[in-house]
Amino acid sequence: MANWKELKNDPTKWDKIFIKESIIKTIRKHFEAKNYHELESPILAPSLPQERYLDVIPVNITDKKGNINIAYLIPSTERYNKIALSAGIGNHFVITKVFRGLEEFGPNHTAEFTMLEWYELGHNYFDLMATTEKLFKEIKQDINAKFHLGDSLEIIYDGKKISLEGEFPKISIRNALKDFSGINLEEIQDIEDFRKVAKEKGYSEVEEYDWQTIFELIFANDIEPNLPEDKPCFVYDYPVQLCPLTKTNAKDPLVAEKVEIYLAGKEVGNGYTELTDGVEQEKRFKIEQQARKDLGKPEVAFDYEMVEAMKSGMPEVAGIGIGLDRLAMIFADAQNIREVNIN
Amino acid sequence: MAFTSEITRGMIINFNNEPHVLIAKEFYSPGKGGAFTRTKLKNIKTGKILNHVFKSGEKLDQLDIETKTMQFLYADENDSYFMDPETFEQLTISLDMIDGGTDFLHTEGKYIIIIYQGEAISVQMPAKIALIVNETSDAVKGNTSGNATKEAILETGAKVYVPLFIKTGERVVINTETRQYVSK
Repeated sequence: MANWKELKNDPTKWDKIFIKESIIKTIRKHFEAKNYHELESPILAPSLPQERYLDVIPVNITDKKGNINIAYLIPSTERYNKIALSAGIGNHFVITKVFRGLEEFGPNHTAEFTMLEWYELGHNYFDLMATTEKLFKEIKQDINAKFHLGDSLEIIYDGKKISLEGEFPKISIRNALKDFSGINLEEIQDIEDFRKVAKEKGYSEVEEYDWQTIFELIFANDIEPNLPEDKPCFVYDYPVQLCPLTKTNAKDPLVAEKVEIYLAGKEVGNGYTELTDGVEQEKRFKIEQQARKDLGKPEVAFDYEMVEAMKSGMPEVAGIGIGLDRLAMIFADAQNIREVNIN
Repeated sequence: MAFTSEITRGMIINFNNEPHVLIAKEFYSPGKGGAFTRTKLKNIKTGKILNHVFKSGEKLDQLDIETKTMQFLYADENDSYFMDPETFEQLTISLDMIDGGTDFLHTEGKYIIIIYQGEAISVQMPAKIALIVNETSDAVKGNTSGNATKEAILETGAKVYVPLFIKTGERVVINTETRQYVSK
């Protein structure tokens, strides 16, 4: 049944959409109180950061003379955030629709979804974790007030309790690999060594997989099932191989200062201490561009403008993106992304 | 052989040299290492359930199975009994092999039985099932949020959560995979 008909038949179903509305209101309130600017991001971009696995949606725009220009529906607002930061906006956030092309859509995936990104000047990824913790608690408090749910900071998602009380656990990739998979990060730097380790674990088809893919398989099969389920959790310090836009950790050069937020076993957000060096960024984009070619991924126009803006001087900053549909699904106990949207 | 995009619930695959039935699958793309397919697999011999993530595009070793549409008769403590409505032939399936046990087995329902090497190994549930609420508390006044649900016991004994406005004796439609309330 079309979802508008379900809503018409059973008006209580609107509440899940209104929970998403409440989340967005809390976010605006949170950042307004801290004097952050709200940036409006363009949806069509002439060029994009190169990322090897990103499936972007190109759009043909025809002018009066019949010339066709290609633009891309933004997969995140990152390009515009970094350009704006280089041009001097300072602390800011964006809430907008972003788009990803996928080969299959499911209960957690649609081609368009709502993204929150915010950027904290002079801060790092641990500051992002602190802000996230505070924001999640405020979101729950506001939902409680609006829907008369008392003052408990406990969410029930799919029959399981998740407590937002206290500090959220933090787990580094280094420790997670060691504890849950028996792997030492040093020993898998070479792709052939990593393939050998994966084969011993029973992955038979790794011969053609790249480093990133093998890592993701091991992460998904060994680490993810061991992450705490009764609390949100931060997984941080990802291998540099996975982080073309992230600052490398000065104390541990095998990892980059990246954090992912897990809630109810779902990844709901992804943040970094941002790479601010335009020269290094250009170098990494070239590597990603080549990787896209090697993987047979469609070409995406190289973002010289973003690189140029960064080279002109981008301030030290930490930035994070959070998928608001997934977040709303968890706060509203919805099993399908359609339930928190009209479609 | 079946590509990850072609696998469906109830399919039997060879995983780690043991036959497994696919209980659930979901595609996902974390954006940092291509696209993947999450699966939930149940070992046909041991009944053990495991989660495994495959790289999308990977080929899985699909095993040959037969299917039969049968009517559910009854269940005892350990087993469930089904009958072929045409030949009246009966089959026994251990409740351990059925996701959710008897929760969604109803005598008016027809079920697809999966047979591997002559042995009934699993029951494919209909995606949705309508069942009568046998027991549920009265609605609490004033609490109408989307999050607000209450426990209900259905005629099959299944415990599910339903919206507050549902009353005892009403028929509700439940998604058998997620155990979520769908509609009245």
